[in-house]
Amino acid sequence: MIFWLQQLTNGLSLGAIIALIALGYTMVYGVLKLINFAHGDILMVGAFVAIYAAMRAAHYGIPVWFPLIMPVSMAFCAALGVVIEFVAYRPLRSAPRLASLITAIGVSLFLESVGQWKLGAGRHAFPALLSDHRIEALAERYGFYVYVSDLVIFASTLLLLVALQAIVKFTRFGKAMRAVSQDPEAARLMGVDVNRVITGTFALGSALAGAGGVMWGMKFGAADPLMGMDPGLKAFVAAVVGGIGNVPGAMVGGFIMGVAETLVAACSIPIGRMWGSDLVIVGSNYRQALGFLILILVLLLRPSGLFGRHEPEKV
Amino acid sequence: MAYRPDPVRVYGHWLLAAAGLSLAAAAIGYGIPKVLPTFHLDPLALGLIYAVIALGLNIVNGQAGQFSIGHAAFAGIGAYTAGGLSTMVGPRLFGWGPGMPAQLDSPAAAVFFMASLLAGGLVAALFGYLVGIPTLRLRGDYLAIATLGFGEIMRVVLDNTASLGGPLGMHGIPRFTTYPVIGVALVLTLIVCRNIATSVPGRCFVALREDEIAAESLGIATTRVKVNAMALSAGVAGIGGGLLAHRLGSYMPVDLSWVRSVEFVLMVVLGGSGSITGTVIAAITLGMLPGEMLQLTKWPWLQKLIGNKMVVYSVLLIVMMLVRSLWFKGGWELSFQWMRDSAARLRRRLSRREGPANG
Amino acid sequence: MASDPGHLVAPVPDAMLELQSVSRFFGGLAAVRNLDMAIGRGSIHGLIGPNGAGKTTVFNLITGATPLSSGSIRMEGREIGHLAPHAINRLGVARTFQNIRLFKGISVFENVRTAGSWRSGYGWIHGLVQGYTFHLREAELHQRTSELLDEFGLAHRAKEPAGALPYGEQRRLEILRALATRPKLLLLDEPAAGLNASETDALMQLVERILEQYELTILVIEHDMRMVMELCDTITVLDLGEKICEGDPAAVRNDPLVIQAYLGRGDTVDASDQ
Repeated sequence: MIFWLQQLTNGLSLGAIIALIALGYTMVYGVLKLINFAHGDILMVGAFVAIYAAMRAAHYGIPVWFPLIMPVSMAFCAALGVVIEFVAYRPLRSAPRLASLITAIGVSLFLESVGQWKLGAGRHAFPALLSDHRIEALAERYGFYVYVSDLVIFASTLLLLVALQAIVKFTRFGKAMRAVSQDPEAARLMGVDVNRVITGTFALGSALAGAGGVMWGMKFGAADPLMGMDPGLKAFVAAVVGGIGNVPGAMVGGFIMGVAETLVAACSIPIGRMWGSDLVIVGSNYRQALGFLILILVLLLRPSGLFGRHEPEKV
Repeated sequence: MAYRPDPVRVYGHWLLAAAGLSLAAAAIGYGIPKVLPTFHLDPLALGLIYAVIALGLNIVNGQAGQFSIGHAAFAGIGAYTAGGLSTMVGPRLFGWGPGMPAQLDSPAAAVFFMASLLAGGLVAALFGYLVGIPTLRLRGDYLAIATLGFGEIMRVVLDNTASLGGPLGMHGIPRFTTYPVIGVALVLTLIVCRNIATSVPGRCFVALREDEIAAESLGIATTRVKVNAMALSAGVAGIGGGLLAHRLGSYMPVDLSWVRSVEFVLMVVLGGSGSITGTVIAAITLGMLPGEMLQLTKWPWLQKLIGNKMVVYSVLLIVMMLVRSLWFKGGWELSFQWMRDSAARLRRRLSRREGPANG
Repeated sequence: MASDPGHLVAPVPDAMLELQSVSRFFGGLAAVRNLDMAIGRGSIHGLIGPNGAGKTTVFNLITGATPLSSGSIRMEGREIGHLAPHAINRLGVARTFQNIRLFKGISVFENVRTAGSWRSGYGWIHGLVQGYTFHLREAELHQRTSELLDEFGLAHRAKEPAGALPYGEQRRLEILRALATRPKLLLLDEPAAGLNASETDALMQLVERILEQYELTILVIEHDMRMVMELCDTITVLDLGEKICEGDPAAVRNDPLVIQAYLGRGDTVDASDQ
């Protein structure tokens, strides 16, 4: 029983991070109808910025604190996102969607290859931004391991999610964002500065990706130039499952993906014990392929996801 | 009112074309190795094989407009099939082994090689069919993601299949792909691509690319055409993959990754999506570039850049898309019609200059 | 002679196309509800009604672009309601689109040739080998395409990209492209939209010449009342997805329900109003 509770908490904390990243995908898609392929790589940049910032902070004697480092990553990633949008996506606004997708792939590859060039393909240790403590009371009495860092991650992610929902629902910018995702031309005619909305959306989404990168690094203790693929894929599937373009859907999708992955991994342990331990190792190898398989199945069976709307083409 | 083309002319042209193409294949196969200095031969061979694969991709991406980012996987399937036949069946049929290395010396061996290449193509085409049927219903960007996913799934499956070499891949594949083989393969591929493009299937591709709904309303079975395009495309890529495997002597699962697929996409895009000539030129250029660059040992920074060629490729891809308005879709082709038109234009311009003087 | 809404004026003896109780729902919204319609062979049948009446939906249902929610569509007695659009075209139904769907990037000649291509009757193998059969069929296709363009006045534009044509000629090209598939039933969706009076005259002449040259049945959606009243033998009037009137032009023009449907939206049916 405790075991499943443990898996559930692990899954929820993972799911929160995935939800954060999924939001970036879904917001950008809503506003630009573009799958920002480079989103996962912005996450990677956020993680490395955090590593670098932590190094510099330690150098200057500033305490390496989570609330200090994370905003740095988020700000840098927001700026990066704005630059990418301006250079690579804006000129192709009127081009067929495929052209923007190719460009997005180009940007993603660029970030990954430059990362590999400058940082080497190996993994870099991620600094400990939070303590290693766990809630001893629960650990001793129930064998239930809840780490403080996980709690902080979960709490800050929830905070960001709530903040984003607030922005989307209650601010003028959020309203403008929603207008542009429904009909950019009409929004323009209503006096909405579409370019600024798109820039702002990119900034927001990329900031969230940066935050996600920092938290991913904290959770798994390492970062490497290709780390963006895994969370990127999971978050994309989450966004599609929730209905791409739908903000609450992305959040729900993220949590579903996090919990599902943790539960599947957990289930494979007892199954692996039954069939011989090879299956567990094989399981993790096949995980990325599984992610794609799930994506393809969702696209084929229910492309509009849980909350999305199916838009048939007008003849 | 029946207009019947003169059979003699038609057959005459056909035979002439066949002769010319055979000559071209021979020129590539035997001429190039004689003429070109040795250190260019390997990069060029690679470039020519990439041209075959890229031409395959051009059919589905450029001509039919169905965006697939999984083509390295189709090439890989062909490579593994053909390579597998050569490394597992070949030795048993021909006694290849440490004592008697694999050689393309007998007609039987040549037939075997051809058959294994074709088998690779057929298996790849089959996969193209299987992948196409469900995914070609999806809209453009989703189709791209789905094909990318398929490629990655294939890579992971091969990565974990110990009997096919696992992550280290297949090795010891006999190096059967010599220049004559490349010459024949490339010329045949060009014939297939050009003939498809200039006949009814090719027109259906164009219609499909321009406006799918209108095409459907004009009697074109769009889903069937798309799937056929995908299957043909995959088959050609599979044959190219088989050629590649028998040139390099090995093939690894990482060669099926989406990053490799994007390289082929870059070739098609650089060539101007849909243009056969452009695709060939782009493929040869990109295929030769790393090998050629490595020869220039003068600039170390350049060497480092080549080692990280994806940096350059990705920038190239982005820049290409940004200036794409200069390359129009499916546009320019080196063809006799173009030469005739250019000559006519030139003549007109010359006569116009003299015109006013004559009054 | 006002007609009873929902029922045919008289049973149509030689119907090219018959719609029976055809309905199409989008969620809870009925785009077309319980439509009965029969189109006589060789006639020009008009389909009119205020905007949003469901006219293009009817076209989409007939051509298979949209699936039927209920009812049946029969062409020459044969059920076609479940077929794919390309299959329906091969049975002899061709259409133009409200928002012109030409292949804008390719030439005028290519547009028409592509449409006529499947009638060439050769498959992949001949395309690959390109022997005598290929050249023969291609020559015939080329001939048919040239003749079509010559006959209806677009030969001088043959090499130009379709997107570069002036609007009126684009509409004409779309009709020619549909004709290239040798249809028995031609559906024209607002062919006069955006045309001025003289261009509309030219269009009407084109339609009449098409009828002279080919054995065709035509179903046309139009808002231009002059054209509808002059060209059509029978007119069906739709409003909000339901048939409110059907009959010859005189009957329809004076039907109170029709006038109300149009006046209610600020249009008039009076043909003298041009």
